[in-house]
Amino acid sequence: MTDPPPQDDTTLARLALAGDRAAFGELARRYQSPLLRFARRSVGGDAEDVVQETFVKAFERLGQYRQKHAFKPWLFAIAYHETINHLRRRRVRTMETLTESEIDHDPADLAAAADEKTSLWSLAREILSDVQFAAVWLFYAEEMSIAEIARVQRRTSISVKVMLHRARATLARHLEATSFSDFGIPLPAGEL
Amino acid sequence: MNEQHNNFPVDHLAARLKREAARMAEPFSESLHGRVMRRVSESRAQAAPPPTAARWPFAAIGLAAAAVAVALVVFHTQPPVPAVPAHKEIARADFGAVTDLIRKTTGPIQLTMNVSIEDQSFGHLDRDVKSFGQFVMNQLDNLPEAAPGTIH
Repeated sequence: MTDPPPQDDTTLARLALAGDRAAFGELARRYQSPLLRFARRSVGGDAEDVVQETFVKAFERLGQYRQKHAFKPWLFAIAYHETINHLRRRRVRTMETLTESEIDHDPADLAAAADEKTSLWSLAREILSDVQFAAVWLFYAEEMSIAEIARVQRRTSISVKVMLHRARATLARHLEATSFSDFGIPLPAGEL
Repeated sequence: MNEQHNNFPVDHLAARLKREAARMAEPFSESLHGRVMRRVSESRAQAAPPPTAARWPFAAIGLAAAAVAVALVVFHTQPPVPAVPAHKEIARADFGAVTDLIRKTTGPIQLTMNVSIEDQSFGHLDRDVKSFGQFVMNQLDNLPEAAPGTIH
């Protein structure tokens, strides 16, 4: 007895909308890791909360999902807006509650920062805006098309193209201007 | 992708971003999945209406149809306005009221008009002529004060 072939996202979404919790469970299994990875790079330690909220909202809004489009960008659109809102709220909280010394000298933050030093994505997170970072992530890490990213970010394709171009230019300029050893990245002279 | 920013080739940048992203895989978390499914069980999927962009033309058409329907109902339920005959004779009693009104108002209007015309009739020329005459008289040295040509 072989397992039934896996159902595609759209079918699972339709079943979930009809009340099939198991179908939604399957979608949640499929997309937990990609969403968690995206959220981890975007918001850090609160990633699981963002992912949980994303799935709950996705379940509540299944009726709005248009089946002519792929499910993944639709789900990532919810996750994207969750991360943006989460970051905004966190910035407001940080401004209101934390003093400068608390931000600078928290040992956990310092250790995490040291670990992250070697990552190009960490540099991207640091120097790009939230929106630019998300676009770059969706393009390179999730391998979404420009049109799909435009749908996620509710922008035009042209706007996404321009944003990606600028983000790449910013990253490249920064990499060139910075000594690579500062980021723990050996400079591959042959490649560059 | 052969773009180049300064001296940094973007295809190298892209390759590195992809490579690093692939190394960042998050392990599946059963506890997170359990939490999600618990929250989902508490929640209910809502069959949401179509998005606003698709909905507004239907709303506009619906409103227009409703307005037309109301207009038709009102038009058909109103009693017809009686048509006025073209050559209807006016009753004599109507003339009486009009002539009374004319009679009452003619007197005061005429008086007001006369006063106004009187005031403006000479444009104060009479006063100027009188002053000029007095000036001429004053120039005549030999004329006695009580002469008949004196103007008062």
